This record gives sequence, C-alpha cells and structure tokens, in this order.
Amino acid sequence: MGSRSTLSQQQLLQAKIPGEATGIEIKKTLCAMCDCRCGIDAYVKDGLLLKVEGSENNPVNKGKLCAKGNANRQWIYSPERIQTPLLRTGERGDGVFAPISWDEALERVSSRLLKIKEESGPESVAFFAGFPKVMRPFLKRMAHTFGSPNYCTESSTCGLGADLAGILNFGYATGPASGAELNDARCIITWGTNPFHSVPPQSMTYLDALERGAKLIDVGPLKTPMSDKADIHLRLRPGTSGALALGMAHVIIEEGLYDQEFVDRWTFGFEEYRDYAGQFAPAIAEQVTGVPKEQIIAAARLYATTRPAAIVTGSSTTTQHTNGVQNHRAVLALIGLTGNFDRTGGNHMVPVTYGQQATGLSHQGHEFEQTRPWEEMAARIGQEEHPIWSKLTSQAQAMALPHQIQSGKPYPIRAVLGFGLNHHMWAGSDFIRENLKKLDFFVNTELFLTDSAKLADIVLPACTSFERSELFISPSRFAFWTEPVIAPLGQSRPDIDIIVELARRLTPEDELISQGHETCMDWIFGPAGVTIEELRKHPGGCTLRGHPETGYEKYQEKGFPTPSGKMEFTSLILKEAGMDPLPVYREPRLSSVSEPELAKSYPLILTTGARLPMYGHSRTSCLPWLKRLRPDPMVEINPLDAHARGIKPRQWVELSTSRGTLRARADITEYVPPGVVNMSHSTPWADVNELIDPDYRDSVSGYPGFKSLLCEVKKSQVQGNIRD
Amino acid sequence: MTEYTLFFDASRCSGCMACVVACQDQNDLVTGDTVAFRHVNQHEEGTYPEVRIALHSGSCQHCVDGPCLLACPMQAIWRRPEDGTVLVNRDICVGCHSCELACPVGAPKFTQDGKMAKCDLCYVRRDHGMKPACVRTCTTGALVYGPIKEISEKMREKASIRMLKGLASLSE
Amino acid sequence: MQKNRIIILGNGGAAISAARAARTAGHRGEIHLFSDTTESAFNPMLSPYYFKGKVSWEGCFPFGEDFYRNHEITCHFGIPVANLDATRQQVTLTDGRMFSYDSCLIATGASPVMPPVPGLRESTRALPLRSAASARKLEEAMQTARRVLIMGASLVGIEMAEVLVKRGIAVVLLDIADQILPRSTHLSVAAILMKYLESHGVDVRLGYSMQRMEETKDGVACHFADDVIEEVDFVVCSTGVRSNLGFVNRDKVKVELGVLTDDRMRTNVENLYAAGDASQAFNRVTGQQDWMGTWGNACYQGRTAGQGMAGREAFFPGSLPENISPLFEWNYAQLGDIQPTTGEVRHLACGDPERGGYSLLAFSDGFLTGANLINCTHLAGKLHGAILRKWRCESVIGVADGDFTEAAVEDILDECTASC
Repeated sequence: MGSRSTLSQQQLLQAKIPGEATGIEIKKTLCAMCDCRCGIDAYVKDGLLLKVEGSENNPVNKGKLCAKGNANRQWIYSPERIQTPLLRTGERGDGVFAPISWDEALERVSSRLLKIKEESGPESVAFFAGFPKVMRPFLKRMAHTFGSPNYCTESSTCGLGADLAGILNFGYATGPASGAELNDARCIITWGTNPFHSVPPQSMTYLDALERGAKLIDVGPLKTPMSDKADIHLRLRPGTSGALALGMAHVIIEEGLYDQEFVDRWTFGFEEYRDYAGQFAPAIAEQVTGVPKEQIIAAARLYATTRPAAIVTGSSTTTQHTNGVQNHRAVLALIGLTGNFDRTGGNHMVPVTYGQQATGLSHQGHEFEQTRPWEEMAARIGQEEHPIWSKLTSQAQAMALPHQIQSGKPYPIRAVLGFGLNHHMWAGSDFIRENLKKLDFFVNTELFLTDSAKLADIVLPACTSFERSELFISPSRFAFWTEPVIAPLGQSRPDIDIIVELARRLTPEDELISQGHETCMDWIFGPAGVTIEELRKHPGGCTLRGHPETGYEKYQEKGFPTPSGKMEFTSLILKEAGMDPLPVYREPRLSSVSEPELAKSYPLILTTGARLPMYGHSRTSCLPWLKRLRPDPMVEINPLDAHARGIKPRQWVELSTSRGTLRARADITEYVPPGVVNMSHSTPWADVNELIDPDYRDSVSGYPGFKSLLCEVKKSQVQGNIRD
Repeated sequence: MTEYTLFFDASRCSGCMACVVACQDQNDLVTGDTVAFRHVNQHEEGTYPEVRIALHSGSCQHCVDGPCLLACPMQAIWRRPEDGTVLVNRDICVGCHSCELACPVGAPKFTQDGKMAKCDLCYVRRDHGMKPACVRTCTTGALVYGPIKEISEKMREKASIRMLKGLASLSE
Repeated sequence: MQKNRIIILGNGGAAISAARAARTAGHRGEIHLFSDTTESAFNPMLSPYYFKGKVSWEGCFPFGEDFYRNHEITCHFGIPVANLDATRQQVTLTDGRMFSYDSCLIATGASPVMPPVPGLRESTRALPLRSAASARKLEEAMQTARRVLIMGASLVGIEMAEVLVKRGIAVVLLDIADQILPRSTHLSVAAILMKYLESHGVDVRLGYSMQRMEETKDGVACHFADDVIEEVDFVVCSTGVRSNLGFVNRDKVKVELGVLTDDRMRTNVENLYAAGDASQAFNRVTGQQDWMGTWGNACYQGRTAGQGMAGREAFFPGSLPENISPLFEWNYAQLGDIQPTTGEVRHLACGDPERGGYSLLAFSDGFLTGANLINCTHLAGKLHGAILRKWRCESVIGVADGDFTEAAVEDILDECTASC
C-alpha cells in the first residue's frame, strides 16, 4: 500500500490530485476574502470545488495563500449562505424572512425606491458598498444617475483617510502603501502596519528585502512579527504618530539630513514646518510618544541617510484617531523632507484605477462613476461636518449616516440600498443599528444573514468571487478577467449583475450600464485599449505590455497637483477651510493627557482593530476551520497590567469604556505594551465598537478614533461564554 | 536515494496559520471541520521591553524511530520504504489511542469514525511532483520541503551570516 | 560479538519484537522460539475490540502466520518450558528435550490470577481474559449468557463490562477495593467513571469480596457476606495478572513480581535477558524497576533485548506505566503515578468530561508524576513527555489542593503542555 503504481482512484481523489485519473481540473479565479485579490487555483470536479491553492502564475501572491484564502470552501459552501432573495416578515432584527423570487425582489426594491425619490428627493436614498470593492463604480454610477449624491462605502473609515493626507501634502492620493518600492528600497519604515497578517502575499517581499540587507524600522505599539525583524522598533503610544514623525523631522532638519534641493525647490511652507518641528525635540517627542529619544534619533538618522528609503503605512492605523489625518500628514511629510518622494526605491506615485489598484493605466473610471456633477445634487451626508472629506473624495461620509437618519437634517434619509453593509463597522455600532431600524426602507445584499442583514426589509443573495466574473488589474499590470469556476449557489448572483438589474429599473435612461458588466468594463478601459474579449483569451491572467510606465519625479514636469504647485508642508486647502495648515499634533480626545479625570477610572489605552491572520474583520469568524483557531472574543493585555488586576490567562474579563462594557477572555501577552489593551472587532457578538462613541471622530476625515481611547479591564464575576 | 526533509525555518514564520488551514483544505475528506493535523504555537519570553515572541508550526515529525509504531497493537503504523514517511493504515486501525499516548507532539488525531489520522506528509502529492500542502501555501517560506543536503547547506550559510552580522554589530 | 543461538521463551509482543529486532540487527544464527500456545502471536489488549466487532479474529494476531518463516524463527509450539538453567545456559521442555543457548530471553508474559475463592478455580464458568484460548471461551460463553459477574474492576474488567452491556447482558462489576481502577486512578476520577458506568446500566459494587462459588444447573451462584447471593451465567476474572516464571530458579535469577532487568534488558545472569510482562524495568517516575505491563512497553523492551542478543548495543530508557482505553463514548487515559508516596503530594483537577474533557494531575514536590484524563486524551502524549522530562510546577508547592481555581489548574495544564 502506498507506492505510486498501486494507488487507487479513490486514493488519488482523496489526495485531490488533478488530472485525467481523477477528473479534477484546475481553474483560475481570485480570492475575495480581503483586498489583496490573490490568484487562486480552484480544484474543480463535476462542478464542485474540492480544494484551493494559490496560483503560482499570479504576481500578487506567487502561489502563496493565507489562512482565510485556504478556508474559501467553508465560506462558499457554508450551510448559512442565503440562497434566495428574502422578504422580511418579522420585526427588524428578528431574522424572520420569507423567500421571494428575483423578479419580485427587484420589483419591490425599485418601485419602493422610486416612490421614495418621488416623495422626498433622490438624496433621501443612500447607496452603500461594503466589501468587496468590485461593484463600486457601478453602484456609484447608479446612485448619481438616480440623482443621489449619497454614495458611501467602508472607505469612510478605511484607506481614504490616508489618501486625504496625501492629497493635502502632495496632491496625490497616496494610499496606505504610499507607492513604496520595496524591491529597491534600502531602508523601509513600516508605520502602523503588520503586512504578515494584513497583506500576507507581501510577506516574501519583506523577507527578501531583509535578506538583501535592507534596513527596517517598525513603528507601532504592538509587537508584531515585523517588529521582531526590525532594526529599530519604535513602540509608541497609540495616537501619537504625529508627534513621533515631528520628532524625527526635528532630528532630520537639525542635523541637516534632509534633501535641501528638493525642499528648496519643491516645497511650500518649510519655514513654518521647521519651526513647528522645532517644538518636538527628541526629549519632548519621548515624553509624548513613550519612545526613548535615543531610538527616535537613531531611526531618524537611519531613514534620512539610507537612500533610497520608503515608508509603508497601515490602511487606517494612523488615521483612525481623532487627530488622524494630521498625524498621517506628519508621517507622509517625512517622505518629501528626505527626498524620497516619487523616486525609485522610495514612494512612487502611481495613479489608481479600477478596484483601487495603482496601475497607472489610462481609463475613464471617474467619468463612468461621476455621472452628475456635485453641484447638481444635494449636499452629501457628512458634508457639513467633514468638508475636507467631501472636497477631496467622491463619496459621502458614511460615519455621519446614522446622525442624519436620526436628525433628519439637512434632509431626511429614508432608505439605504446596501451591498455588504455591516453596521458593526461604525463606532457606536448600536447607534447605527437603532437608526437603521428607523429607515422606511432598507435593502442589504449579502452572502449571510448577518446582524445587519437581519435589519433589512429585503435581502438580496450575492455570490462569491468563485461564482462570478470580474476584472482585476494589479499594479504590475497583471490583467485577469475571471470566469466562474463553479455555478452560483442557489439563486445567488454577482453584485454587479444585481446592480445592472436594479439600474435597468431605477435609471432606465442609462443605456451604458444596462448593457451589462463587460460592456462597461470595456468602456472604462477604452483609453487603454484593454477589452474583456481580449483578456478572455488569457484564462488565468496575463501581463499587459506596451502601456506607458508611470514616470518618476513627475513634479519636475508638471509640479505638484496642489494649490501651490508644490509639496505643502502647510496645506492651503486646510487653511482655506479654517483648519491648521501645518500637520499639527493633538492628543487623542480620550487620553490621559486630554482627560486626566476620566483616565482615573479608565487608566488603560484601548486600541482596536489590529489584524488577526485568521480573520477578515468579522466575516470569517464563523467558519469552523478559522473559528477553532481563536473561538472566543479576546482582550490582549500585558502581563504587568493583568497581574496588577489579578487577571489570569484566559479568564473572562470586563472591558469597559465610558460608553459601555463587554465580556471577553483575557489574552495575556507581550503583543501589547504595558498600559495598552487591544481588542479585535472580529466577534460581532462581543462588539468592541459598541464601546466607542459615534461622535468620537476626526473632523478632517470623519474617521472614528478606533485606535486610541480610554478603558479599564476587570476580572468578570461570571466566567463562561455568554453564548453558551 | 536522495533524502528529503520537511524543514521549518523559525526565523521566517509569522504565525499566519495558513499551513494549518491549507492542510485541512487538503485533507478534509478525512479531517472534516474539527480536526487539524498541523498546529501553530506561540511562545513568549522575557518582560517588557526585552521580549521575544517565538512561533512554531508543527505536526507529525515522521520520526525515524517513532514511538507510535511500537505502541500500535495492530501494527497499523508503518514507514514507507521510499522516504520514511510514517503512515497509518486506517483499514486496520481500531481506534485504541495507544499512539496518542505514545506521541510526544500530539500528532495522532481521531476522526468521526474513531480511527487515527495524521499528517501523511502529502505523500500522494509528492509522488506526483507536488509539494506538501502546508509548504505550498506558506506565506513566508518558513516551511520548506527539499533534499536534506541542499536545505541544511542553505541553513548553515544563513546561520553563519547571522553570526557574522552579530559579531560585526558587537564591534560597532 | 555475535552469538550463535538465540532462544526466546514466549510468543507475545516482547518475544516477537525481540525476534524481529535480532534479525534486523543482523543476527545470522539460529533463533528458537518456545511457547505453550499453538498459534502466532496474539495481542491480549485486542480482545475487547474483537468482542465489540472492531477487529476481526485474524486481526488479533497482528504479526500474522508468515512472521516466523519470514524471519527464520524455528518455532516450538504447544510445549511449556519446565526449567531454565541459567548457569549451564540451557532450557528443558516438559517433554524432556533440552536446548542450549548462547543468549536467552524470558518473555513468557503473564497470566491472569485466579482468586483463591473456594469453588472458583475448579469451576468451568470462572473465565479469565488474556490468551487467545481464553478469548474464544469467553466469546462462546457470551452467546447464551444473560447475566454475568465481573470480579475485579480493573481496566480489563471495565472493558468487559462495556462489551457485555453492548450485548444486552446484565452486568455486575465488583471489586474488593473502595473504588474501581484502584492504584492507577485517583479516587475522584474513579467515582466519575463509576457513575458513567452506572449510567450505562452496569451494577457496580465496591468493597465486595466473594466468599465462595457454587455450580448451579446452568450457571454459578456467587456467595458474599450478609447472605448476598448472585446467580449468573459465568464470572469474568479480571483481578490482575502474574508473571509466568514457574520455570525460573529464583535462587539464581533475581525476581520480584517479574524478572529484574537493567537498562539493556539484561538480568543479573550473563546472557540472560527478560522483557515484557515477565519482567520489571526502569520506571522513570518512581526510579525503580517496576512491572509496567503494556503492549508498547513490551515491544520496546523486546526490541532492546533482541538487539542486545544480536550483539548490538541498545538501551531501554525506561517508561511509565500507562494505559488508554475507550469506554462507551468516552476515552480514558491513566499515566504515571497518580498516588506518589514521597514528597508533598498535590492533586489538581479541572474541566468537565462532557465539555472539553476532565483532567487530574498528580504532583510530588511540584514534579508532575501522573495524570488521569477523561476525554482529553490529546494531552496524554505531552503530559507523558512532561513527566519524563521532570517538569516542575513551582506554584503547586506549599499550597493546599483546594486553593486552586479551575482556571488556575487550566493554566498549569497549559503551561505544562506548552513547555514541550
């Protein structure tokens, strides 16, 4: 038994060996567990997916696949998947629904929304896109054609905040990766990011860089696998990135380590910036951030003198603070200061195209989406509270949605059409939950009957990436038009097809969208000459060639796309809006410095949302293979703090803020430093976001301060899981 | 015979747990929802700020002198002559758990039918020129499968470089 | 230096492992195997699995009939050994034939003790369980039985209780001791297991001592104190085993319960080895030469002896007494010394058999010495390792048993298994 020649077909099938003997075929598709979009080899037999593997031909992941990606089959074939459109028959939140046909569902949704438009104006309907992102251009187009300015997405609290900072500094939406050229950088700063867990396909890139001898500075309060490999780990207090960056700038300027030529020629407001950074001598920066001054000095010198150097930030780790955008601006300013902006091996600015990938290809994405100018529509949700967000992004600020539902000001929001709307994403998630219940009409498109789906009047069943077609073009211009590798389960449908069907009814005048997905993609990429027909001939993807590369130092030719035409240490846009033009550091509004009285009752810093390798936010926490790795809600607390509170490993504790309390198990670990507590938002039944006030937001971006507030942890009187 | 090995490079592991789930995805006809052949452990040493967090991905070691072989009353556990992979014949396993008692790393697992199952080093995949599922998916290249000679030379070189770097930094 | 003729007395796990190991080690000379059985090696621990239909009768002979031929073993079946002359290095069989040896292995195993209850040893309805023959007798007796009494709530006794219950036969399980599984199982764990057995309909009686047994028309009547009489179809005798050493001269060869051996399985006499249930070997918990009768230990010891007899240097590093057994829907493991007799002794327990498993740990001066595990046998291997490694838990020293919370015991368990 066991030698090759004697293996039976049954044994080959059990081992899932592809080929004629077993009838298992390998088909190519993309994973949508997170935004990395790793290529997948789908092992399919008789229409059934048997196994997944990373595609070696895909330059994004080069054959690797993370824990979530490997659990795709449990996601796709979960018995919990919604198989038909559902009509709510019970109370909002009860989860009592009756199956209805697609025709009935589409009819109900469109006729109701058209009625509400007629009664209260199109702006009273908000269109929300959660995750994934493939359908966004279609939803935005439909929203504006419908007449509503209120297209909003999970970007209301994700990567766009970092973009804002980039636009204010450089005129470029830098994005979290900030165009870092990791393959050529001789020094890398990972600022508030743990790519090993948040962007696993990039793990090898970092390890290769280190092996090549690149220097690594890791900035963040948590001790991640990246911290262990770093030459210097700047373990700062949550919320103080701005002060740390200014402290580093202080050193770089004082020691004359900055790129004088670039600064003199291409920056605006350097004198003010220099004076301001002058207030952040290393000893002061140490006092504010908790990072020893020797380390700040060493890191500043290392970054400034090792050329080229690149900074990578987290998608929202520096911006999910009440001073988030300004903190992030201070960080990004270092790139210009050291002359690493738009240079090889530094941070290269490549324009973003479809799917928020920085491909630099010519496209008509913006024209496709923005079918009506803003002036023709009502003010967006959150426009008044967050004017900079509204000015610099083309979305409404969803964090202001529950407030507008509640107040009805400046006008009522009566309906929401959601694609993967998850109310647990909001700070004060109970607040938005209560307000969603007040809507006249709420439609959510989902794969599972999540807590948010249960609040909806109609739930539309979406399918996974394995069951649909979509276009993906990576930064290296690997273009991949996928075909379904298995048929959609039940009556589930691709999100884009659902939007097209709705658009045919809601915006029948829109001829382009009614022609469907492929025609629209051809239209968007018309300028680049990329067609779906052509891509279809390359199953598994191909690299586009012959398109002009995005150059470096583009400012030499065109200047910076800012009001001053230069990199702005002092932002004219902010100045005009009556805000601080400099990247001013301010304490988180809930910190021991800002609220010393409150800190007496809540002496620990709570930070939330750090990525867990086995979970994608909350959507994968019910998959058995992933859930067994970390089944209970956990609060990470340092051994010193645990000991002081008499808390033993895995004991049930109460995590409290001034807003609320929840129960979780204590994970006593050095992952967090003393004084800091971390909790993941992956367990919606113990939702840490309920403990955060919905008004605890950055006024510039509208982002909640998820990553720095005050809390306390106590042993719970009751041991045992609340779900038992 | 070229001797092969499955090697774990602790300096690369990020604790992403892809290996655990890839193995389940590969073997779920046997493992189902609840059994995993591979596990990732975390070990912390030291106190703030001098702390080290070590990660380890482990499964059956395919021991040269496995205690499980001796313990099994049915002689159901055996080593493949080609490459020493330790396998269990589930047709004759009676589910007595003797191997579980004997194994120092907890490799034997038990499926719904009460029989023992464990990592088989994806021998069928390897026989068809493929890598073990855990190695194939490993996001950091911490899990490696290849000829012992090649791997140990590479690791020796890596260790020397680290040592030299360490000595160099001492003299700075 | 290779000796020429190896003699192996016995035909169980130790004997077979020795024979195989000698050949693998390169022994080219004769190997003679002597046994009072007439078929290939039988594994006694498989009988309950056979009775439950988990293994075929053939499967209970794991080495198969071809083993002897394949390893060039000359077999002398069906004739017991009468005498072993360790000085002259020869064995004499009961039929008078003599065989000399260059090296000899005593691997004659052990036989069930038949308790000295009047009427029991003569009865055809007092059935032990050990050899293939005894298993066959039991199988036959179970065909028509409706009520059975089991003497001795040992692991064998409990396994038979499950077998009988599953066949719809009423079971009375009794033991002289005040708990089931005396010696290897902590009183509190024994109580949990007893309740579990009772929930499956087993009538468990402790502190029971049979006074005499009488044949009846179609069964036996067992008499106890206070005029209690149990009429049953047959009685299972599972009160323990005794090493088969009648042929050994105890003036020459050092014997306690079993033949004493060193770390190479050598006895005190040159060229004479012992292994398996006939021997005592190094117990790494107590530090003594103890009887550790398990199949795994027998095979390891036999292999060590076989290598030694073939001229190779081989060591048996010692072991623990340990057992693991399914019991209805549960799984129970006992390892090491659950009742250490030296040092400050601590017992800590946590968990729930039905939810995640129940474990009880025994410590002596902080050193883990033993464990009882119900439904968390996945910990067994690691705890075994921890005991061998002399893992020490500082926090149990100087603290009373009752001072530990459930969570604290869980931590200790975690710490122990994580320290691997």
